[in-house]
Amino acid sequence: MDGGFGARIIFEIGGIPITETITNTWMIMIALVVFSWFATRNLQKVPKGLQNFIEAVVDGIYKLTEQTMGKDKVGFAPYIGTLMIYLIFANLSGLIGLRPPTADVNTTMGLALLTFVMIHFFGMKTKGVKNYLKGFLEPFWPMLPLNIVGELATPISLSFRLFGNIVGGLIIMSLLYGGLASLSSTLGISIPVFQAAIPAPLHLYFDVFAGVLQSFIFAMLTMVFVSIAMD
Amino acid sequence: MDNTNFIMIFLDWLMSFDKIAIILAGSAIGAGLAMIAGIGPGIGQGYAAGKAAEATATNPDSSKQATMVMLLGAGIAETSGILSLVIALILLFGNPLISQPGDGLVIAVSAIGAGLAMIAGIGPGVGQGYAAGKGAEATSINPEGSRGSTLVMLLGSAVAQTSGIFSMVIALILMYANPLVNSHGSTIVVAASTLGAGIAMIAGIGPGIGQGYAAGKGTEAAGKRPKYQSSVIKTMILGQAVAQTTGIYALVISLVLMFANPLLKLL
Repeated sequence: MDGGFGARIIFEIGGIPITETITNTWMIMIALVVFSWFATRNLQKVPKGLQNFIEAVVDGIYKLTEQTMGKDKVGFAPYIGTLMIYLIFANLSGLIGLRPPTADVNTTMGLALLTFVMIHFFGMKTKGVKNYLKGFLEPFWPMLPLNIVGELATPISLSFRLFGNIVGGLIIMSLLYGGLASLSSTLGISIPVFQAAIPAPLHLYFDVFAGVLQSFIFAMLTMVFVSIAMD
Repeated sequence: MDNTNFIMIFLDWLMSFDKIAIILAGSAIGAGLAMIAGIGPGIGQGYAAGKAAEATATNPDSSKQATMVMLLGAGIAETSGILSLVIALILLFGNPLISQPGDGLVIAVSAIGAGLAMIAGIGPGVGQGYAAGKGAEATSINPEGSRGSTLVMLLGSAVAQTSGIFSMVIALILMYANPLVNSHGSTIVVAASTLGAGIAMIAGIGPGIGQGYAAGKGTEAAGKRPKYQSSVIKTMILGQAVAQTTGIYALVISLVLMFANPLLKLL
């Protein structure tokens, strides 16, 4: 296990290390941008084919946002949708052998900080700065330090929930692949045959189940926290 | 006086080993301790399975749906077991502590502390299992409201994971970036502070179970009255945030012990 389980540095630009996380994030971004561009050309009044699917996705995201945050906050849907789609693709990228960008705490912490800023910005915007800050003295003023720590704990738990799940799967899968390779080499087979098919059920759990679920949970918690701060 | 201070004798005995040997010994204990968290998912998933069996008897028509909800919830309840497994596997196969400079005893205790911190996983496991069971029950009582109740279960369970995540954060800090390793205090105080940072996190068992209970009840409520789903979610999350308080105390003490230890200044 040389180098541990961190993201590998691919190359450096002017002394700034460019890791796998950054290259893979860009790959996912390019794929999504190209896909959205092609999916939204020639939109028809009566949808067919791909447009049907895209409309169902967009509709679903708007409905979910309305149901969770309320009718007045449906404007958050584009952000929530972007977040969810990006996270799903990022988490599933392990399936094609990429290192999921979400297996890097920098990615998840960045997204969680966005949520953190949104919570407090929109809280202040709807309640007014003074009223909003007064909320930190609830239920009585000695609770102030604890309320602050509690607020700071939100992005930590949000980011590490996603990071822990994805990196956990990554570590277990890489150990499994290593183990299977050494098993086939001890049996004298030069091709690691055991790496075929055997890891599939675990991929199903760690990448598909945990990946999709954690993307959904991240987006849902963002919606709930922001709408609680606003009400 | 020479041979009466058994702690000093014990420490001298520990110091008589190679630095690497003592770190490896600590890692072994840490890996074992981390796996204690398995208690939680075991209890929780058992409860969920029982509730799903009950749900099947209550409403055989929706048995398949209830089983799916149970499996989904049980999959989440497995999380803290997996996080503990990951910490144990890192200690066994990719141990970052071996190459760290500093006092061998403190590094060894970091491994033990990381393992101790992960014990908190018991809480989320039990709590999320309870929520999963309630999800299966809600589905059998009201199959039409199953989507809403499952959503509440997912959200509640995700929040119930929080203390397990804090524990993982502390365990990762202890393993990869323990600031105490380079501190120049009395070895026993520094080592004990590291151990204390891990022990504090065990408090996470409480919030985990409590928030899981809230998640279960929220699921039940959303299943019975789908109309009030969004207010159920808000009340549940607010309550869970309060239930997190003691877990946050633990996190604060743990971080203080590592990064701003007042005891080291008294030496």
